[in-house]
Amino acid sequence: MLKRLHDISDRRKVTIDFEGMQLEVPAGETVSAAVLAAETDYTRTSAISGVHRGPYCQMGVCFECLMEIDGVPNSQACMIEVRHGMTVRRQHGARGVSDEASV
Amino acid sequence: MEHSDFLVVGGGVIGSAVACGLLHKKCSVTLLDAGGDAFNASLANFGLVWVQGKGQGSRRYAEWCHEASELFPEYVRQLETETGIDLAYRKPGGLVLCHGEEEYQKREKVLERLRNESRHGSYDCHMLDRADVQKMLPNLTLGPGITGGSYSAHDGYLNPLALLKALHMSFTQGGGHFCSGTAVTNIGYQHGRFLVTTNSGEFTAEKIVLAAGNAMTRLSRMVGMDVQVHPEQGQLMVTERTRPTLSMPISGIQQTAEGSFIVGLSNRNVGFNTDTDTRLMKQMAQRVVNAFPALACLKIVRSWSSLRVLTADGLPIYQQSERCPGAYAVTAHSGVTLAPQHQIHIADWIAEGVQPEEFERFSTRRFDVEKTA
Repeated sequence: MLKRLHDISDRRKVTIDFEGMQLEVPAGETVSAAVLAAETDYTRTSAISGVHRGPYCQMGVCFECLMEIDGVPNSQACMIEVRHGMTVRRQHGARGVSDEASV
Repeated sequence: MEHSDFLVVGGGVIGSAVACGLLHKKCSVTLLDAGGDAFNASLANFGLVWVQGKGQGSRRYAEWCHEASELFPEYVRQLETETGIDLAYRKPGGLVLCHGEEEYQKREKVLERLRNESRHGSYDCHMLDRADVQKMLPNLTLGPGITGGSYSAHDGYLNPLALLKALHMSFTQGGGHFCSGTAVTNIGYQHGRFLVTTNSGEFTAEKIVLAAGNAMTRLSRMVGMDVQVHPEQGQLMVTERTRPTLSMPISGIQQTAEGSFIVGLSNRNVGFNTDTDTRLMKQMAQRVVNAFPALACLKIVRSWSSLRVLTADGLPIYQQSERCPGAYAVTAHSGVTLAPQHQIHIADWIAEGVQPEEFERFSTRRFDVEKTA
């Protein structure tokens, strides 16, 4: 599985909620790195075929790491830093569009 | 040196459709595509099969588009059966939305004009008030500024990349010779034959069809024609994918089969330039949000611009060279919508001399008349 290369024991930690699990992760890390380090099997299902997907490029290009972060669907987890109290969910298929969301 | 009955210059959606049509005449056909640096509208367009509003001042063009739309379902069925490629073609009808009273009145006048110019005083597209437009788009609430729109049952859409891929596959499967990365540098005419020089060798042919988009002006002069086209830049944006939301295409806003919204509402005359302009993108995005406030939450994931191929009056040109008989020019702004016409009727004209009704209206002679008038 994926392991961090550097020692994080002396780093400041924040807690995020990933699918109901409380993860203690180093401040300043991206959501995708934090979730990968927690041995996540997948982070989204694809919009067309529904197959499991996970972060790939880690630099904002491939859009494989889309997740629902603090209620915002299709968020690029590799481009967003973890924040204390953040709620992170897998992105299941395509997002919806509702009139309420625009208010 | 390779010799064929027909040489088609331009492997975009127009050249490929004509080439496929010629292949069905049991002729040998070679299709040259410059690829790479060519400003290829076939790879960058919206994919609308669109009829409504087209052909003001030209009844025959309005009919030409309408006939194409009628041919389309069977055309797609055949191409899909032949190639196994899903073109994602749908014909749910299409809408043009009107923002404010002024746009509504302008649109009404456009339809009135098309009705007056039509053969039987009828034009199958009608105005809808705001409430009726809303009924047609049940999943998205209209913004407060939308006054209504026009609806035509003849409009639809497909995946333009799939269409091009299917045409190329159909062409090569049918025995056509497709040469990619082959740019024409010169065309010679001797003893009724054409000698074409390219960056990768020479080709000879009995007949030559020019369908090379914005390269038409330059190439047509090599075979004694003066077919003038100019580029008009259009910019497009694509959003993240959503669940199916938009029930039918709207002029400038469309949801693809995969769920992305495509937005394309611009035209600029900036020559051979495909830069994108963020101010323009902002205006386009604003117009979408004005129409459908709920779409404001969507992220834009890509944008690009491409060049339309326009003649002086925006209508197609189908012309045979008088100085070099056997050389043909085929150009149109609506390469997707007119694909069946090009594959069936334009191929008939080139291979067998069979002219569709009132075909002279699409010749370059229409410009001469204006000059002498």
